[in-house]
Amino acid sequence: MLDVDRIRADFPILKRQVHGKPLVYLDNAATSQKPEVVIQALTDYYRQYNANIHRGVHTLAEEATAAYENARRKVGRFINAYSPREVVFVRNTTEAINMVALTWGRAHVREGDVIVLSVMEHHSNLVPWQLLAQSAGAQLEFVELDPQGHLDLEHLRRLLDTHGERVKLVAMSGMSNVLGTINPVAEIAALAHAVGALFLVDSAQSVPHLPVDVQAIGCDFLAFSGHKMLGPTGIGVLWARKEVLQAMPPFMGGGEMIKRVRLRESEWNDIPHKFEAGTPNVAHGIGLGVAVDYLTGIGMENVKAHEQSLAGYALERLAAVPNLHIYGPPCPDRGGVITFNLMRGGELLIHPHDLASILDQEGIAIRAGHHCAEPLMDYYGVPATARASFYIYNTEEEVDRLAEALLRAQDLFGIS
Amino acid sequence: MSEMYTERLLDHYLHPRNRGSLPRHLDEGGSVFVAEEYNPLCGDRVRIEFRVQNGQVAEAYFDGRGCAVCLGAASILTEVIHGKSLDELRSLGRSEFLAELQSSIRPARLKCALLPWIAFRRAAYGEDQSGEE
Repeated sequence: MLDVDRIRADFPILKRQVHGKPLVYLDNAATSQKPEVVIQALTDYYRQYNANIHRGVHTLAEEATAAYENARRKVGRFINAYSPREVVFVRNTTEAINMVALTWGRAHVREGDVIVLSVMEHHSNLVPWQLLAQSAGAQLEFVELDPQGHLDLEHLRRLLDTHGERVKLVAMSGMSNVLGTINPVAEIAALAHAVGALFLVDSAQSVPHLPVDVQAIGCDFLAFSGHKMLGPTGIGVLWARKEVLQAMPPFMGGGEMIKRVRLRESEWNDIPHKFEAGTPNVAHGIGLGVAVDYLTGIGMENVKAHEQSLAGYALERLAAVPNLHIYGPPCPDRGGVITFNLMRGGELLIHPHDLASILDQEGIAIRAGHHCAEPLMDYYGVPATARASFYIYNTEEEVDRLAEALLRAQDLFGIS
Repeated sequence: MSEMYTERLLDHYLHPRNRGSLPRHLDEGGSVFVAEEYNPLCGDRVRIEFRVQNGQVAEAYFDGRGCAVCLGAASILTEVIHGKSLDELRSLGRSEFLAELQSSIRPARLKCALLPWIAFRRAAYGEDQSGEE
């Protein structure tokens, strides 16, 4: 069990009030809050050793370079990378996936090839593949869901059987940002490899909330964002197997990504620097390393257990709220994400945007909308949904406040 | 509980006025104006229809699906424009319309509240106010 009181004391923002009520922050799938140590790491860098990295020979440059490369090693250990050189710093998950589509994808995906996705993907693991498929003349296939919101693995097997070696890539989320479904990524990796395809995991939700081990999964690419895992915005990670990264053409050209430059041609730098053109986000890279230390200190098994226990409590507690329809699978196949609507007879009783505004007046931050997963909304036939998502600092009392506020919202709208 | 969901706005959402379409009057004259607006962010969709006769809005209707802010504002709009001339209504700008709602619309919800007004401006004057928020 986590010492949630102690954890909460590490997060300055949790002391603030919203509309005169204590903040209940349940929008962690969008972005997490930051502990004091991460905030402090950013100001320490700017106050004490701000310098450009990998070039200067002065003390500040040496310190900054060491701190940045140390953050890379921490991230590598956190996901059990074979080597820290497999960790490429990018802006966010979206940039990581686009980089794969624009470099590996352009080099390997040809006309008639197939990329297999699922209907639960976030736009960031869908639109880059649409762009690639359009330019390469490739085809996209989508794994459907079972009635509970799990991936239909039988359907995946059928798609792989049908298209065989034409499948060049399978790309799926490790955990759905809408349904909370935890996907069996190791099983999917084995299925993809059996037809010779590579497997990319969109880990935007899984790395922050679950233990993730790239060697145990057996995946080829893994993408995630720092800001959803207690780290700063604007820093994220593309991990890929060393051999895959080495064979990949560069992404952007410029400083740092080259070994030798002549007027008409250049020689690329070693990985990961080949993919990090220009001055990177040094401060936030270092901040991400500190966030990783913080999560490691708690232990990702404990993070997962806390959130699944809260999700279980929420499913039980919210079942007592009339007219509440919850999407997604039961525990333990679900992480700390609860997406819902107030509905009767298939009709929305309160639009999720109204619900989010009413809850905001109670100091409760939830997300409402399509959660950057419009195809999934279409799949369920709703324009939008409301979503509460948990992290290490959330409590059962906060779930109670959510449940009570949902009752008051129905009173306000005269729903009996 | 909230300054946004005022009695007036909620009343218009829960008991909408002039919801539906213009009746087909075969013998009545005048000109019919129609426009529909869509907010891709939340899926709100609202249509405003009105008939101008003898220089005035003789009938106004709205229909659509969306949140309470959008549909409540649409119902209020049909009452506000009724009986006025299109010349008079030119002065019904963004802030004038928001004032009619008598509700403090939070910044993130302005697009919801303005969607019916954007439809009205398009129908009446052919203006594109969709960049307005």
